[in-house]
Amino acid sequence: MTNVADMSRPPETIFQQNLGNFMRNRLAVASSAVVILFILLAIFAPLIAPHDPNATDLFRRLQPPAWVEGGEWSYLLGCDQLGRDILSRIIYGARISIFIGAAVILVATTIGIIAGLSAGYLRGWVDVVISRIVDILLGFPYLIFAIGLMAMMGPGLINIILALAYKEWVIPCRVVRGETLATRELEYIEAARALGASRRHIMVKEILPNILSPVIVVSTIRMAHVIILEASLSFLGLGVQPPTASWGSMVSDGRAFILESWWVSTFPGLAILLLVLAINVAGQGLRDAFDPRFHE
Amino acid sequence: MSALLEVKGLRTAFETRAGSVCAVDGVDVEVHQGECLGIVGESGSGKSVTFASVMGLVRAPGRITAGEIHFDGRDLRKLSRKELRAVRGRDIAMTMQDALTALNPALTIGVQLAEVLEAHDETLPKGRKARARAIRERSVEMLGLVGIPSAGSRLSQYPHEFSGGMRQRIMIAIALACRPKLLIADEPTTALDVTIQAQVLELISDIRAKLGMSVVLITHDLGVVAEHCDRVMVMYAGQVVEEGPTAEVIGSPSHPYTRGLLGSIPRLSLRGQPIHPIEGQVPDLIDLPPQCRFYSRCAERTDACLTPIPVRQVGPHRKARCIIAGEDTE
Repeated sequence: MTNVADMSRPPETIFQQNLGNFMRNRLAVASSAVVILFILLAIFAPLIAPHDPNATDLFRRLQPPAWVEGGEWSYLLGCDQLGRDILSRIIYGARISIFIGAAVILVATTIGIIAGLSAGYLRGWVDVVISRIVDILLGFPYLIFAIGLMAMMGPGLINIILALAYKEWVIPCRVVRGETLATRELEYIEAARALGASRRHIMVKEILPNILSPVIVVSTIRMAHVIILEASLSFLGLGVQPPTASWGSMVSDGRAFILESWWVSTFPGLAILLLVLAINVAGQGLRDAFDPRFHE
Repeated sequence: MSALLEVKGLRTAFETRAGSVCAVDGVDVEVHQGECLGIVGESGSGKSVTFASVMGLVRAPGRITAGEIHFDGRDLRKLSRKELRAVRGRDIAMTMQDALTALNPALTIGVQLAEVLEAHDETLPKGRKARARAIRERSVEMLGLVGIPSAGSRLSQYPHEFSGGMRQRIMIAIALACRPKLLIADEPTTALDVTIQAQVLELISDIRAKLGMSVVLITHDLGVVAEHCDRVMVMYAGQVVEEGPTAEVIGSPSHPYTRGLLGSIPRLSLRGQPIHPIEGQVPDLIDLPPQCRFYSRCAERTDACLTPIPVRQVGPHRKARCIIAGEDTE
């Protein structure tokens, strides 16, 4: 903790203390490194990928990974049924997963914050309407809801983001509403009202900074969930359309040959597993660091 | 002397499942220019709700059901939400009971001071840079006024980096930032220890003299009132039971409740004698009988007290809500 004797140094802000807590959690830091690695892979995919992800080569159809007999070191993880390099496709697939995950979370969190703040602070009919919509959306199974929407809207990147964000905003909304309900009764909100602050000012400037930590933590953990959902949609053929590489559709591609050419499905599956696991562990590390209830 | 704030027949009720709770029932208040009015009463007597009503801060399920609130020639009950917001903070400022929680923990005190100035101060220059500089200067000036040393460097600190007394001072600085005509200090010292209490009250008195503003001091400490207030109003169960110049009310209280309050303060001069607390409890404010509200706890009750008791003039500047007031005193 902070050194009491050292008064010359300016005291740490709560954020700095929490960041310090987070940095001491080695597993969470390692997981964050994995997440950052995936993000870098996604951004610099054209520079890193050894081959064009969509270039087919019929002589390399179902070529095994490098360390298996018949493999080549320039095609490290082997090739799929059209002779496309799996490693390159996984690297490009990271773009889709991370972009959709981030976009959905961004849209959903923005909507969730606005709706949650309004419901929690304004109460009355605003709260009734928003809360009932939330209840109704929570009653739908997520994937079936998204499949239905995708079937209606047709495939496409924007449509996937919309289909997932339609329901995802409910999660940050409930968190924000609950935190707002607790915060609005605090004395400093009353003080702000007594000083003539407008309702919008109180919601955005007084309440929001105080409830941001749990929202960030929840959004991080939910991003892993969204990535799985995107992979599921792509697996079902409703997501990103071929030939664009997506981890979900890659797993789906390999289904037919899973017994003889296991690598086609296995490596993209492992990529999903690794990224989702890393985000979850990092997210839980964030929660432990930023939620005072988890401090010893 | 005309009144800066004049409240007449104010009634504020809270709807509950058990019935309507009339937290403030027919309260009249007058605050004159430059004076310090003390409001005394135990918890639940309606002190805070009265002034929350004045500022339009009562939230559902609470509602002002009757009465007039005139401030500086304007009827506050007739103002729109926006107009009322302009009055709050600029003309009437309020400090909250608990200094430890009344500052936003997520914002630096510089930001919190700047917010009030941004919202209300029309004298600020328009240019962005000049505006920021003016706000900074005013903030440093206000912190200096409430006695916070090296104010400039402390603007970037968060509330948790200050002690309780300091936070109370900062809250006062924020309340005074726009030079309000009236400061409502709601129990400014309850969360503080005794030495800091004296400093904060001294500070409020000083600033009142310097800025010529009026102060309403809500407290349950008669000692504080005796030292700092020109006039005092004693509230009980949502009504004013006694009102008058501080020295007279404390010197010769005319309502049995005021006498009870004074009797329950331990004094060094009465060492060895038992202190006399007021027996019983404040009545349940739901469905009160029309009789005197202090009846069940009053040592001097008679059958005549079972009728509604009006407020009577019991001296040149004194009023009391008791049928025996002014008869057997002095």
